[in-house]
Amino acid sequence: MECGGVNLEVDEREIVVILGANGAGKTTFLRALSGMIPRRGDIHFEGHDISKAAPDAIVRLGLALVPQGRGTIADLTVEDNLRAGAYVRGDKKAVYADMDRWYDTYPRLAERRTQKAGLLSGGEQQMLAVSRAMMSRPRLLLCDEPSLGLSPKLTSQLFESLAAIKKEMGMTVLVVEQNAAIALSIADRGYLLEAGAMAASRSADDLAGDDAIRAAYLGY
Amino acid sequence: MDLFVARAFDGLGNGVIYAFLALALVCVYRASKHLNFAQGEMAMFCAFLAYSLTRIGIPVIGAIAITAVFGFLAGAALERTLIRPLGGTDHYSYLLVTIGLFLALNSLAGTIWLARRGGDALPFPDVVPSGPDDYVSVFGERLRYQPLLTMIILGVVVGLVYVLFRFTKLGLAMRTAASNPESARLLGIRVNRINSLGWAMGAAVGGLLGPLVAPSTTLTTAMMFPFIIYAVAAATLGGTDSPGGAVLAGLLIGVIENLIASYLSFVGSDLKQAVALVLLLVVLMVRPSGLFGSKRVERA
Repeated sequence: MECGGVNLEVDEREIVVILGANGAGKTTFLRALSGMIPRRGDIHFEGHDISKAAPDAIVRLGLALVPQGRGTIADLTVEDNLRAGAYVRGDKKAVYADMDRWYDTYPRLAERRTQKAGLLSGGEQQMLAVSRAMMSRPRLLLCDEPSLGLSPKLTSQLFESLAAIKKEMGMTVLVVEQNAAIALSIADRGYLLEAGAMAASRSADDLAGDDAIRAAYLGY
Repeated sequence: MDLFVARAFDGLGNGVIYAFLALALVCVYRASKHLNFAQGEMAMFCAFLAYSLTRIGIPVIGAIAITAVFGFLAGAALERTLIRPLGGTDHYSYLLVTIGLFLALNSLAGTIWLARRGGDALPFPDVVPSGPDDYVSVFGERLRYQPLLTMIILGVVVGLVYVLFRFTKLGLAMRTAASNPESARLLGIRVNRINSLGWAMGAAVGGLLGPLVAPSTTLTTAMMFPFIIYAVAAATLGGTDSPGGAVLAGLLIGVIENLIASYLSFVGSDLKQAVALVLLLVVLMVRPSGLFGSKRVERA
């Protein structure tokens, strides 16, 4: 998959959603941002040029990806998954404090902390994926299709918790989502990605009110 | 009963070698997700190297330590130059490269050390005394110094690997990379380096083993042949990603093989090798991921 002509800006403390059909290049775009695949062009993050940076350098700068399919480290316990999430950090005490914080946010994870993560349900794995990514204390969180495989109820819970995390931690979230209705409900702005090219950004309300978008992505 | 214990003990002597080599295989497997068929030859090469070091006056123990370090560095270099360029997806090219490495090391050792002697084996100096009276009595049975030393060193290595995996951040990174390399990269773990480290550790373990085996096998390019088959069986039996499992399985295979060969007269020493394979077959039918291997337990 190749993406071209993508222009996107995310300001601090925003939730921005990228909408687009299957195969539009949303996942490719996020993987490019995280340094997982070769890319061209300029990518700047908080003044740093990360166009050629390796994934570990990008994580260290404060950008974390919740990958599509949740990226569960199946053979590790829930607790070790979270510790692995904090791999780039050195402040051991604060890491354990953060772990407790995510156990508070998602009590199901606390109950299962010594279980292998591969045994968690889909919803629990998604909570784990968000928590694991948050363990690196990112200032920009990228979420790739967090609703995939989740029930509508779990999806809305997850998005509520994303909105709450963003508000509490004062961070920025860029989320790719097919479930446009729910994504737009917490987003400030949105972009439309079609066949690898990005249209101009519009406010979330504007996108949600657009008839063409409603027909294509919102389904009503 | 005494005979039973004696035969079990005899089996341990080989079992500890299977276990040692299986541990090396597991270190590499965790990094590359394949068995390295050249693992035994790498150990063999290290044994020859240790021999040369003893010839220039370095004490045997020192020579073993040096070859272990050499193994560590050479393992990392091999991963970097031969394995990483394969990209980790193509099974056949990996197979070919490790078999090529097998043949290359074999011929290289033969050319360097044995060609001038017409291929005759070289004697390797004893690491510990091995006279008729050099043994400890355990339950009235003789445990000779050489296998005992190998066992102790294996125990120390297994202990170190356990501590590394359980209690260190590097170990956590290694376990993460082995379980889900993609996620590991996303979390900032340099998976390439972890893979090099896996090869380095495997080769270092081989670097320890080669010179420990050499006194009893003497130095030939074929010295590791009999062991690599069992070690592969042990690694598979114990679970190719479980260091402790592979070691335990190696010891078990050594003991069971010897017991069966001595109690079932039709097996004798000729069919001994088949024992390991039958054992392997039975276990894999019941537990496809080995006795202690991690089962793929993902829920969608």
